[in-house]
Amino acid sequence: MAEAEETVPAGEVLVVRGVRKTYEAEDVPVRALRGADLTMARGEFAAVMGPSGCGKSTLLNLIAGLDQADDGEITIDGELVTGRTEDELARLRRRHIGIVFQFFNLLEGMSALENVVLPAVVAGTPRKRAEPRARDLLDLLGVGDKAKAAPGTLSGGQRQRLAIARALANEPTLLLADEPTGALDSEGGHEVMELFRRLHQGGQTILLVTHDDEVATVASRIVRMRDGRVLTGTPAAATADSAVPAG
Amino acid sequence: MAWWSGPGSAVGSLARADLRRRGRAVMAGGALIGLAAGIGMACIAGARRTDSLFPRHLAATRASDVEIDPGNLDPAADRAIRTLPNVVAASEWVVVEALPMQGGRPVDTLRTALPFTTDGRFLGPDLVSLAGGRRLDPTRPGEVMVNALYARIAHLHLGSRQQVGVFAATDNGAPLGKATRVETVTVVGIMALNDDVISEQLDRVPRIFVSPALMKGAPKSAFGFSWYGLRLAHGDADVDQVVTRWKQLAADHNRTLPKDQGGWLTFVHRTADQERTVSRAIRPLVTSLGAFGVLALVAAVVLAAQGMGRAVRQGADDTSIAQVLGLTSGEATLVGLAVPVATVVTAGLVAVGVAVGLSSRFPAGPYRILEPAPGVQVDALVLAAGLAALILLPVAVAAVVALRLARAGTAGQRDGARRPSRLVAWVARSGARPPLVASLRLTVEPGRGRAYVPTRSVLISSIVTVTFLITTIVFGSNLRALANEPARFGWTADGALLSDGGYGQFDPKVTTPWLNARTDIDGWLLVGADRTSLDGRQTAGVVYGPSRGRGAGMLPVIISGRAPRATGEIVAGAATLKSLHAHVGDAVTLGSGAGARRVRVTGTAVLPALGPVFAVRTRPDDGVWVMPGDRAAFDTLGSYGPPWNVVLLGFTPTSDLAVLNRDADKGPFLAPGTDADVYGVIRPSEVSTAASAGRGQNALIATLLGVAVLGLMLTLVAVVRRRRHDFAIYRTLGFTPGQLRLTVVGQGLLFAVAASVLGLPLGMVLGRQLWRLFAQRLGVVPAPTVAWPPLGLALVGVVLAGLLGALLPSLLAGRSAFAEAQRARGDVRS
Ligand SMILES: Nc1ncnc2c1ncn2[C@@H]1O[C@H](COP(=O)(O)OP(=O)(O)OP(=O)(O)O)[C@@H](O)[C@H]1O
Ligand SMILES: [Mg+2]
Repeated sequence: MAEAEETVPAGEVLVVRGVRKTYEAEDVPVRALRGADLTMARGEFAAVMGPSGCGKSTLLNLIAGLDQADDGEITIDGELVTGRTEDELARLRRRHIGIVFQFFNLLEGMSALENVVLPAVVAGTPRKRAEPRARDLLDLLGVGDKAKAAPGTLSGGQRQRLAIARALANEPTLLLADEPTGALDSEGGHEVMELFRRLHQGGQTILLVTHDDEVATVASRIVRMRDGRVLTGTPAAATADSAVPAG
Repeated sequence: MAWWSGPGSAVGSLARADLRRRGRAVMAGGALIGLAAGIGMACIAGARRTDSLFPRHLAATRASDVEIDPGNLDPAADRAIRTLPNVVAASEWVVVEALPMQGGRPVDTLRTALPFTTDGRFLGPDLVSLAGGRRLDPTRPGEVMVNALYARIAHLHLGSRQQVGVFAATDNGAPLGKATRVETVTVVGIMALNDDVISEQLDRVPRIFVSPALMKGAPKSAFGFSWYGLRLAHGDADVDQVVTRWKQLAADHNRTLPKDQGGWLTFVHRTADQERTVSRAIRPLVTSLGAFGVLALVAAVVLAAQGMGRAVRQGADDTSIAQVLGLTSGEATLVGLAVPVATVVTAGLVAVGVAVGLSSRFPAGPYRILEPAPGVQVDALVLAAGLAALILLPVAVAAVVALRLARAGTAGQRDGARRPSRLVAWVARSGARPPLVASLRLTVEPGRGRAYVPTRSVLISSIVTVTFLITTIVFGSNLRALANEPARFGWTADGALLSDGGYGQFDPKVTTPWLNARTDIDGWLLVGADRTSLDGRQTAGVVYGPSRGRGAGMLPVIISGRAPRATGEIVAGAATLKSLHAHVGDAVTLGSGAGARRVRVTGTAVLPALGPVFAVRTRPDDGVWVMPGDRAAFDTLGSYGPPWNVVLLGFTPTSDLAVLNRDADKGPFLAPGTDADVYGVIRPSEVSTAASAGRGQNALIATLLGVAVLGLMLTLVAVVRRRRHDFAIYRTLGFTPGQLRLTVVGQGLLFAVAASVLGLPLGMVLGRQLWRLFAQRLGVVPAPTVAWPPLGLALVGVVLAGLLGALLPSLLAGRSAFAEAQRARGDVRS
């Protein structure tokens, strides 16, 4: 990826440049992103905040390759995300992305452990290695005793922790989370945020969308958005602990 | 990294998880689809087996190609027949004067039993089929075989014993003198003769075959009429040559005899003709069985295709999560196909099991007893074709849906704007009651992922079901009309008078006064029926003579053109004309030899089946209506048959067949030693078969309604369960449990009404069209009728089915718990 290497300074894990996205809804175009720019260094923990409808989820989806940008460029670890086919994006996600949703999106037919093993196996980790690591992750996230349980039998907080474990299974370059505490009570929210804090300490790069100021305090940096644009896209000075990545 | 250890293994575990989670649905869906498909395949295979039954029976019994009846047993005739050209094998049957006895006297009630014997060769070239037991041993005088009718009348079964007496001669069944030999015989076999199953009801005769050993040493006068079955070197191709030669031999022989001596007869029965007759008789059954089978198989395939598309959509949430986790669209498609493939493979296994299991119930109908290889049969062609349709089509549909969903990629995991239905919005604005609006919304908005309910496809299958239902009813009421209105199969008279088993004559000078004197006959028409030919093709000819009262109207039913008015004009059956490639208005040659003449076809008609008259038989669509002036074109045979050999009769409300029969046996028109028969309407066997096939109709209607109720119920249960979140919201919006129930019942009614509105006209058009085709093939009057009462009843049934199908789901809806629905929201994005 020669051109990407030219434009991306070393150590920058995510570069979003001039990204635009317009949705056609009910015959009226909705400009969800109007030229968003964002750069993240390795080991950063950024919290995206902004009013409802300003394009936070859209930005996250574009970074994850779940949707295609109309214009602009996104690179992750020097690899171009924009302009790829669905299958190329899928392979890119295997290597670089872990996602946590507000509503968990767990696979109901599988045990908690299987849910966590799956992304690692998809990414090419032999099952023999993927399983112990999945157990470690479940232990780390405090749901080690639920390995055999069906996701449907867990509480909301437990489900979200399981979802985070799954997002970490493929040792992603970038962990994305869209309002991960949105569906949880305050206690569950606290638990989950504590987890993110510890992951960040371990060196995991995290991009998280939230409405909650308290949640945002855990982050090393706050990214504000409004009307489809990023207002503050440069790293805050406070990031002292950009240590070695977790994986 | 090897694909199978990485993403491939993930595909495997996702597929297994999907199968585990939906295993019950796979089994239940597979079993249901497989059952329907299996019944369909069984019926198609059964139709094929029934259709091929008679040819197989002929082959298995090593049947002869032609039968020649030379008259009474005569050694010279016997020699002549056996030396005819190309004869490979010959067997003969002879009537013998052997009568069943009880307490040393002949049994009068069995007067109609015709004891036969042979030289033993019916155990050779012409094998008699057995419905039970074994063939008799021609060397043992104590063994007999009887047909089922004889067994029933005489209360016999396998192993029963009976006395049989051999007489020197009988007069029409009444023995002359004392028995020359009395033997106690044992029934060793129940035989199935072709006549027992394929002929008109009047041809079915109780029969007993005695052993040639019983007749050893009996006087010549104990042997009567004989029949010869000939197997020829080149089969049917040799028949014409053999018959021509036999007619020549008979004519040469008869010239040497004094004038009043009968001589050798030239009655000929061609096996190929019999095969055609049988195939006509069996056709309605084969057609309806095949049609039902195809219908069931198509329904199963459509159900499967629809269900598999639905299964993929229901799994779409999981596959798109898997895509978020890094599966490519191809891999996601594979995951999506696991459940459909497992379901149709299950269905295929069940279908093969059901089809093979049911195969022992075929061939269907009374013909069954002729089956040379009864029991389980594997029709590889039908099974292979059925399985291919059942598996390939639904999997193809599932693959297309899965690929499309996978290509749409991860969109399933984003919040997409769902466009609400304009119809629902309009109804809501118009101020309809909330439960109705909710019903409508649940009916037309299919939902997504696990909340996906295939309401639209259920709506379509409901319409299809109602269409088939109405089609069945329209077709069935026409079938009933055919059975109840004899004019539809050409019978415009109430009955017929025949003498000497159809071989006698009626002299108008003595017959008409007798008819006119009777108060229980209010009309009559003299008819002459005989063999003739059109452009060289043999057929039955009918001439209509003097009449009185209603009799003048007892003519064939014209379906195109007009009736003949003058000598030189004829009307023919539709099939007769078709086989000659002739049309109304064409000139054809009537008769052969000296009497042949050119005549013009003025129309086609449905002709009444005139029983076995003089060894000929008119059929609804086969035969020719000839003016008296052209009678010379008939093949008349001495003192037999025409000019008048049938009297069509009109009955009064007080007429009694038994009285008429008794009086006719003393009629002045009878030749000495003969008797008369008065019949009611004579139904061609294809019409009887059609009527009996029609009796299966109620089962078909019940099945269709049952399937409709079940399909609706499953759908509504799915609606209630998959949309429990919607229901919970309705509840928070103030719906009472009663209103929730009403919502579901309303949905059931919406399905029923929508299906009726479209299914009724579609079904009527389809039913009438189908009937027209069927009637044309059967050769009866094709004009379709519409019976409204059963249609109205069916629609009421459809609405009731809608309510019934909604009952259980509505109870579930009333109970839908809010907490459970909220919990479900964690896994279902709605
Ligand atoms: N699939 C879609 N089709 C049409 N419009 C969409 C779609 N997804 C998002 N939008 C619109 O794009 C804009 C940005 O949406 P987005 O979901 O990114 O907002 P958000 O910042 O995440 O809001 P919230 O905080 O409420 O989640 C909104 O106006 C939304 O209505
Ligand atoms: Mg959002």
